[in-house]
Amino acid sequence: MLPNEGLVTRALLVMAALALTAPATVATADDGVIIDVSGAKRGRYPIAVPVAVDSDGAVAAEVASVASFDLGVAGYFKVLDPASFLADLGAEKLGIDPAKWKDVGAYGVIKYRVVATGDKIDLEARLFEVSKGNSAVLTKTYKGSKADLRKLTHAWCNEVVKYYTGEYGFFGSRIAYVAKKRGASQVMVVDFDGANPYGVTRNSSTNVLPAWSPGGGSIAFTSYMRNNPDLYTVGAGGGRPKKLASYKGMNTGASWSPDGSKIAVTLSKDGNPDIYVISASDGSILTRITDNKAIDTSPAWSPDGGSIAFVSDREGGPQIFVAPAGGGGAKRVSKNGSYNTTPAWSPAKGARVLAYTTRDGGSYDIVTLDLASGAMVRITQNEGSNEEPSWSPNGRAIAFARTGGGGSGIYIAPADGNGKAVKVLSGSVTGIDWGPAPKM
Amino acid sequence: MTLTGSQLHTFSGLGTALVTAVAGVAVWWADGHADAAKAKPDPFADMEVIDAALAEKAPAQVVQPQKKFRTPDPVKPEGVSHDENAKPVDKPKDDPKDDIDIDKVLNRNRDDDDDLDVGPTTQPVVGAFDGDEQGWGDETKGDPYLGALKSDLLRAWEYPEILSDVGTPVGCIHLEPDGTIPEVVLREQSGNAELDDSVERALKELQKKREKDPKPVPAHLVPKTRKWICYRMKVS
Repeated sequence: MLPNEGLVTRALLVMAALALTAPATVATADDGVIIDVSGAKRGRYPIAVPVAVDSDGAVAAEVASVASFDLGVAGYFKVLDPASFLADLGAEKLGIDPAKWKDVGAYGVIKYRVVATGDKIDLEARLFEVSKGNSAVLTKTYKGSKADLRKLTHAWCNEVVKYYTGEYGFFGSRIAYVAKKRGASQVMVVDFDGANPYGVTRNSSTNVLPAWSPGGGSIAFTSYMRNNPDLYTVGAGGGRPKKLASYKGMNTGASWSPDGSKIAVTLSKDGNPDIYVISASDGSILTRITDNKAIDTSPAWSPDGGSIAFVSDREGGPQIFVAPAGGGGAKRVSKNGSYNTTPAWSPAKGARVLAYTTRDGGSYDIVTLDLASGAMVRITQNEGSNEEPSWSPNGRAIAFARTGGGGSGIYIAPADGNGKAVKVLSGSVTGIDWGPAPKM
Repeated sequence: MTLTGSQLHTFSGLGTALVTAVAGVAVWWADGHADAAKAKPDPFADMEVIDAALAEKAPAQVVQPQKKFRTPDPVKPEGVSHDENAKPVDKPKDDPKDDIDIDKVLNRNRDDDDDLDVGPTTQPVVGAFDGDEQGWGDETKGDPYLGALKSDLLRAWEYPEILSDVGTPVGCIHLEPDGTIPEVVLREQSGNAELDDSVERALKELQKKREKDPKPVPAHLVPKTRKWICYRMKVS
């Protein structure tokens, strides 16, 4: 045996232990299971709109109510239930404790202070993003009369939408419709949220199919006031109508060109209803779009000005066709169902999407059709009969007339098909046409 | 061959020096890397130390069948004949080429010793399911248990449509063998505060869910899940 054999053996064992242990520690320092995950649910933006506590109670409550409604139907937000709030609103005042809002799932919080002095209103509103701490990302102040409170709140909500999307919302816009009153049908206008309805026509005849001019200053409609369905225009605030087209037979279904200089209408001056383009200033015929033995009605001018959609029964039942606005061959675009009517173009930039009414069993529903992809989205289902869709100015929502299913009236639904329709006005209504965005 | 006492002392001394040198290099190398690892700010340091110890836990000793001992055969003394009249046979002379050149032995592989690589480069990386050199697991090769865990996380992950989807934050969970998640953390921020926030919310939702309904980790996964399980989150 070697003299130092035991010592050497122990040294070797120690060395081996060191050699194995040290590198293993290093090797595991940055290890870990890392798994790629993709596919978050893309939902609406959770936002809280608590009632201001250091403001005039009734006025503060109205601001919260209007703002909650606006953001709720905007198509982007999910307004959180105030009952879930954990924050100490009295202590927070115009600020936020981000942790408290995060705990209730809020991504955004709206705070405001509204002070009423006599007939005057001062509104200071702030937007917070919870992930960005307790500094407001948007602050605006508004002054006006008490009567302007809703308008000021709409303006603030439009700023909120613009902050997130780069474009204003449709709050403050108006909807034209037709309601029966004392045996007559009158063209009416109401704020998009159902507030402030008023009559545009006041005659004792039948007035139908209102259509906003692109600038929102006037409304075209068909009236039987001279016993023939003639086309008139009237100021959006009402007043004396101006007869624009009174050709023999039908003068119906006006749809303004995007520049407001022309109107597409249905005329039956030659006995059969066809689509024409007339001058918006004098009603003279500029172009005949269709020349067909079938019935062609309900023209809708595309936002880019290049196309006109309309309804024709040239292939049997009523279907949606699209023709060049300058005239030319029409192409059928609705493929499903035997009854499709009242097309309306989405005003969203770059979109070529139509909403229309389709018969589904014994009732009618609203669908959208993307002409580029062919994708269809159902907007209503199993809730009464829904007809005459009209897009919000930004294309995020669709208004329509419902009969039955929660009560007749004007409803607004998200244009992406996600979310429930909200009733904004009760009553038996027809001829829905959503006006342009308010001027900011 | 017979070594003298002085030769034995010399050989022993040189052997000890060699062993000491190798041990020194090993300790120096490991110490340097350990320092580097400490220098990197890592909130998971505590967890990793625990994991490292677990990673090096020796496998259970397998006892092999042992030979039975028996009395060794008697050895005949060399050079002794049972024939008392026979002449002793001369022991053959050592061949000079069989002489050990001590210096040559000690110098052999000296260059290799200088750069002794003591790292177990082929040792499997703990927690990396696919053996990728980056150590990033491929979920498609994962276990059904981890698949279910990931599904639960995805179900909890909502991200508002109107917000930018740029960024890939990494969120991690500390999964106990009993299936609970005592700790979650956002390990890598994406630079997109809203997105990071959504991941933190999702991790906490998963944590809550597993608190209410823990699903014990299968035994075969326990060694791998003793480290942080991290998710690199892409919105779409």
